[in-house]
Amino acid sequence: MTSTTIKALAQSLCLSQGDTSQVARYYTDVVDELGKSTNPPIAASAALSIVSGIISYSFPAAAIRLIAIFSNARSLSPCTLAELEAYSATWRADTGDALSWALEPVDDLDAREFMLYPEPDANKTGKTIYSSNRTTDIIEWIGVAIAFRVLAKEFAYPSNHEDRVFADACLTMSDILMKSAGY
Amino acid sequence: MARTVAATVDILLERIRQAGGVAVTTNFATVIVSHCQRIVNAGTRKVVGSASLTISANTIVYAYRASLTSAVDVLTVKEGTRLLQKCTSLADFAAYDATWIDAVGTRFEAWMQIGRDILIVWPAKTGSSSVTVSYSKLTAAYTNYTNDGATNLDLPDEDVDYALNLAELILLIRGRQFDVFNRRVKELFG
Repeated sequence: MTSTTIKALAQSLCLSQGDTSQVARYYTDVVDELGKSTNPPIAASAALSIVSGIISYSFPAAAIRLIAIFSNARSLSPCTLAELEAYSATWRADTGDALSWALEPVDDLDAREFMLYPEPDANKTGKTIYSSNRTTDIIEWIGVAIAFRVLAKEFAYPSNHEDRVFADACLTMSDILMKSAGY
Repeated sequence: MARTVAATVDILLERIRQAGGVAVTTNFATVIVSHCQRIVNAGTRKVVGSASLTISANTIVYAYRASLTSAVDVLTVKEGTRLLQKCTSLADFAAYDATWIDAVGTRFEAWMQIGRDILIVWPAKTGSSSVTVSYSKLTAAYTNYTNDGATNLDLPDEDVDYALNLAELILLIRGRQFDVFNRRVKELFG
């Protein structure tokens, strides 16, 4: 499914009573919430070019949360500022093969960049795995559950079509569908 | 005995008292049945398939759905006739080998699925290879009551009723029949 078909399904399910721009807004919010969960249903990977002397790298454009980073076939451990400082008092100046990664700014959960530790001293190829907010090729069972979650938000807030009973039913249905799909 | 799409949609419309497909068209009900069949099989994993996945040199991460387009969840991964161990977190690989993060081997040992898109096959090999992946299938899509009506559902008979129940609940919400919806949820799920 695409994000367009999911939003269209949501409108079909609410007999087109939803506000188009709000449905789009809530769709983004729902996908973001699922992407930040501990078991994100939509994941993707992207190639990572690790460049000698470059410590900071940007998240892939569609990434919500980084799940893992690999340098060649080596998995890099996520770490916090405290762990970096405990590991090496000179961590900012250390160079070598990347061992771990941290959000940048360090510990900022909304960061859109990450840094490698230590600073790479050779070019390597790698991969990032991340929860994704992509708009195409969304597996169908999650698409239907997302449509109901969007409706649960759209009809819960004050508006000329507010319908909290409908909103509650949609949230219940979304949960039922996720559990039925084994999520 | 397998049930056809048309017969299933007819039962669904009778359940919600929309036989004849006026407020709920037969085509819309068909699409909902199609969605529910896929959701049920995502959970039960009874309709399965298998295919070969090409493994590249020095690579352990694969976006498997790009190659296995009808795959939902990976069930098993085999190298030849040997089953690889399933891991549920990256830390599980350490149970195999404390230095797993650096490992490049001569045979695959374990695999892990991330989300519904990514497959890790570990360790990497220095040359290209292949594994056989068994997976739960994305069941067929139905969009039209007339054109798809004679097609048998992919689900085994014992699971068709569950898909019908989910479809019924979806259409009850759409029809704003909340009393019936809530009662049915209680009947079905306690």
